[in-house]
Amino acid sequence: MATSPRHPAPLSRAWLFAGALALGALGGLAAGCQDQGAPAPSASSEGRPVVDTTLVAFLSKARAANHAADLSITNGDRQAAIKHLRRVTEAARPRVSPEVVEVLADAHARLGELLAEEGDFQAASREVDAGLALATEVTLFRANLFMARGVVQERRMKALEQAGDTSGAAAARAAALTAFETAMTLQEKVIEEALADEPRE
Amino acid sequence: MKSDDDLPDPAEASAEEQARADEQRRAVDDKSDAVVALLAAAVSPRDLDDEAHDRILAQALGAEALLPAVVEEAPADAAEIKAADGLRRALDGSPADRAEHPLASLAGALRAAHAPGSIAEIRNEALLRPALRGRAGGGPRVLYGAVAGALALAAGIAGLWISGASDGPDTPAASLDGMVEVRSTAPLFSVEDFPQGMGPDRKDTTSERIDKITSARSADLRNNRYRAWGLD
Repeated sequence: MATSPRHPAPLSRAWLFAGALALGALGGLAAGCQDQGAPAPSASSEGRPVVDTTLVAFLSKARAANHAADLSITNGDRQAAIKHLRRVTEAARPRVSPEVVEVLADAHARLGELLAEEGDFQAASREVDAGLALATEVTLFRANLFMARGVVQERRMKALEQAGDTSGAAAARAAALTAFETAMTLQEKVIEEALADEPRE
Repeated sequence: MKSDDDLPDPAEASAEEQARADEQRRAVDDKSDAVVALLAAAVSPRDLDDEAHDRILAQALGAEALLPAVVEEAPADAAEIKAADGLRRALDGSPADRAEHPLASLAGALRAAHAPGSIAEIRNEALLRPALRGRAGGGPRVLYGAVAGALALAAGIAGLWISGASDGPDTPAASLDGMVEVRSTAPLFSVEDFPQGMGPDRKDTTSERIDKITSARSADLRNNRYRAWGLD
C-alpha cells in the first residue's frame, strides 16, 4: 500500500519519535558511563556480586536510621536514637559485601558512643567489638571503631574517677590511649596507601 | 658300554629337576614369576587401583605430566610459579585484571561449574530480557518503541547526571558484562570525613557518610538496571 509523504503512517511516525529519543538519550548515557571510567562492556558474565536493589535498599534504610537518630539526639532522646540504629545492626541484612560491612561498622561505632553517653559501658564495648569483628580490613571505618573504643573508655574513665575508683580509672585511661594509638596507626596506614597510589612526578 | 638298565629311569626326576620344579611351584603359588603373574591376570583379571589406571591411561595418551603423582614429584619451576601467581592475582583482582588474563575467564567458568553461586536478581534479568525480547514477535511494536525511547531518554538524563555526580576517586568496578560490582566505599572518604575531636567539639558525621554511600551506590544500581534492560 502506498503512503502519502504528507501523511505518514502512525507506525512509522512512532518509530521515528522513539528512535530520535533513543539516539539523543543514549549519547548522554554513553557520556555518563565514560566519565565513570567503566571498562568496555562484554557479553560474558562472571557471577560476581553486583550492586543490586537489595543492597541499595539496605543502604537507604541505614541512611534513614542515621537521620532519624540525628533528630532524636537533637531532641535529647538518645534511647530513641539507639533504637533507630539497632534496626540497622540487628535486623536482616543482605549478603555480606564491603558496603554492608562498612555501613554496619559505622552504625556499631555510633551505637558504642551513644551507649557510652548513656553510661552503659558494657553494651558500648560490645557494640564496638561487634563492629571490629566485621570490619577487619585496614580502612578508615576500622580506625573509626578504634576511635569509638577510645571514646567509650575515656567516658568510662571519667565515670570511674567521679565514683572514686582510681585504679579502675587508670585502667580505662590506658585502654583509651591504646585505642587512640591504634586508630592513629590505622589512619596513617590508610594515608600512606593513598599516597602510594598517587602517580609520582 | 652301558646297558639300558644302567641309565636313570626317565619317569623319575633327578634331584636337580625336583629342586627346579619345587622352585617353579613356589613361584606360581606366590605369583613372583612375571610370566605366571601375566597368565594369572589374563585368566582372572582384577580391578586396577585408580592410581595405576591413571598412570597407564596417561602413558597411553602421552600426558604423564598431568598425573598428580608426577606433579608432586616434580616441583613447579620459577616460570610456572610466576604464571600461577599471575592467575591468582587476576582472580583476586578487579574485573579489569580478570579481563586481561587469558585464563581468568576459564577459571571463573570452572569455578562456577564446580560450585555455582546464586545469581543476582539484576543479572538474571539481564540474561532473561534478550531471550524474552527475541520471543516477543511482532506484537505491539509501537508501544514497545515508545517505552524503549522513554527509557532511553531517562537513561540519557541519568547518564548526564551520573557524569556530574561521580567526580571522585570511587571508580566503579564494572564486570565484564558491564554490571557495577560491590566494593569498598573507602575511596569516597578521607580522614577528615570521620570525627576527630573530643568532648563537645566532637561532631558525629555518620549521617553524612551514609548519605554519600547511598548516593554513590544508587547511581551504580541505575547503571546496572539500564544494563539489565539492554540500554548499553
